Amino acid sequence: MSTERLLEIEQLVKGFPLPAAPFRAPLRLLAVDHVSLFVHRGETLALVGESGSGKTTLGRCALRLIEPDAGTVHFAGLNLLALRGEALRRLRRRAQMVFQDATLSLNPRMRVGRAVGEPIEMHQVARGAAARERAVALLQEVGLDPAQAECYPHQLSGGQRQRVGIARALSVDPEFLVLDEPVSSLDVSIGAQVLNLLADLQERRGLTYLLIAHDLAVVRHLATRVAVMYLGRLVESAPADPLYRKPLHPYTASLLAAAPVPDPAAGPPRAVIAGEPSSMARPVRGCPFYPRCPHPAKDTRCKEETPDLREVETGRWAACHYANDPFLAAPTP
Amino acid sequence: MTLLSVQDLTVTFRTRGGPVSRPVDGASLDLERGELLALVGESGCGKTTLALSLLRLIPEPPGRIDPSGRITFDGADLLRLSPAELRPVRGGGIALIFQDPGSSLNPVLTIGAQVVEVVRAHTTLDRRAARARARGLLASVGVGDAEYRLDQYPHQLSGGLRQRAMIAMALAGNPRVLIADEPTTALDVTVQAQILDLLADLKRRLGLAILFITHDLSLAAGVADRVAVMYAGRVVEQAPAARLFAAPSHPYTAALLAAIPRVDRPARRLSVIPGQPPPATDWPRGCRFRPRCRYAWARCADEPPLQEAGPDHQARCWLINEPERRGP
Repeated sequence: MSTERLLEIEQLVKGFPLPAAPFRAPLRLLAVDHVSLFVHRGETLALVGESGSGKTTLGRCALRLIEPDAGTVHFAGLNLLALRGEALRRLRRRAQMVFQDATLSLNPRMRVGRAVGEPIEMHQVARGAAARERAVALLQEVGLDPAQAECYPHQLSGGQRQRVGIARALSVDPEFLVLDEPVSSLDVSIGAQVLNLLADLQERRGLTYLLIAHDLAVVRHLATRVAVMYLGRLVESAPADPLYRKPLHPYTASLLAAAPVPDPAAGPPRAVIAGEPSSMARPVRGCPFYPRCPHPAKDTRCKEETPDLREVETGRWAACHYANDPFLAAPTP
Repeated sequence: MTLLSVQDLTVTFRTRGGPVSRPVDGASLDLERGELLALVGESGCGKTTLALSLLRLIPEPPGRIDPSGRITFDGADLLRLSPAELRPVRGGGIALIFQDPGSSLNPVLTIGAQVVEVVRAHTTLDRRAARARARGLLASVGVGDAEYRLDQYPHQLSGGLRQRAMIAMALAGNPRVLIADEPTTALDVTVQAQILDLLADLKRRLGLAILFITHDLSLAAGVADRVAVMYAGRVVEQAPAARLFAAPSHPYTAALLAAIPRVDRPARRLSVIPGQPPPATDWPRGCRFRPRCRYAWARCADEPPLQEAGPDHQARCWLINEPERRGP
């Protein structure tokens, strides 16, 4: 793995208008609130958070599938937000996306061989018979039978459709993939197959991944580094192992405590925080996690002053005033 | 003591011109008084059809519960009760909650109206008393500010609160059994932990027996007293939770356990189960896991019976008689 930053996002902001109440100023929901992060070439950065944390919005902004309101996105040194026309098209060949639900992202009336071949022709990688051959080879690479190129999506199982989604993303030979919840709609036995496939492809093709997931266990198998989001803010980022061993942000600690483990001796998932993440309930000032924070030291400073993301230890960043004295969920009694 | 017993339950669905589907095909399980039994299986294994059949909630036709099976609750065979006899059992004896509270609640009625309706269906309380009881029920399942919530509509509540409201409605008839079908699947992980806490609390406080249906073995490990694993329409293994996870006897259970990504055990490669679960229209002959089983041999052409694999532990596998085939 290199130290080259293939993707670098700085101070990214993306909001969406909320339905306006009569006689009130229209409100905007800040889905992504001044987030900065980078992905090294060849690594997997996992973006973790619960629903509404802004992780999918950030992933889409990273490929400019939606336009951010402010901030910058650099891909391989190119300013993605300044690119137009042909230059943007060329860049899209290098960065692709795998969607959560392949059932929804594949055209139901297109045979999967053509679905994989379409971007090949569109990006003029190959044409006609050569494009078809390439599509079949890709289907084989992701573990499908060449004959399945003639199938429609509904004739395949969920796991097979997800493989088609991966083959389609790979069809233009990208360096970088955004994986948006790639296994969350699959059964355990099938999800494990797809996770292994993603690990193989990364090694074989030297791919760089931005993995968006809510499941900390899934993330553990692929991630080099992990970034945790809460209500639009990045609250912690660190290399995977230290983050799982000793989280510095109380929200990360709460997520880990709530993650179920298939071992009765480990006890039930622990609810160390009450309530639910709600962008409506997000305080205007202070730490966005303040209302739910279980840290015994939390005080008026947390209520008044939004903590910045700061480097607490080398390579470990956290947005908590008390990150030097991290909250650890008590072990099961 | 067994409270709810399912014996040899078979449910078929006939589709027009299509093949007959048998999502549940000879499934048996016992729910003991006051225990939490987790019924675990992947999509299409028949776990939800089984749950709905317990209260005869599957549409007949096209569905059909084979009359050779038995569902015994409180001394009565639920499959042989008349609709009038079954009505008090629904909600009164056995209550049910579903995966997505958003789609089980009526979006145009307040939470209060919906809980009150259930309370009045099960009691002779007048409107005012029923509202007080509804408020008490909401408070007892951890809904703060219950009086205020009574007047809110489902869309004004978060997913966790909606599921709590569903649980309050399920408790309105003082049931002895709660069937919870993937009650936390639609929720975030921190909220899931809260709902699991609540179910454990209801079990303790009310002595409620809970049939907890989930696709997630990890959840079963955390909350269940016993676990039943379902595959291809049948229960293939059941055991006390501690024993099932320490010494799974059925190769499917063992393979499923090995395939789970774990927060506490990083590994770049997960162990996988080859192939995919069979469709309910075409269960494999002999042992149903045979096409995907790494230990399969000639004996597996015959369907193995559910046999003793240890104390209070049964599994459907020939390996129990020939453990040396499992290798070192």
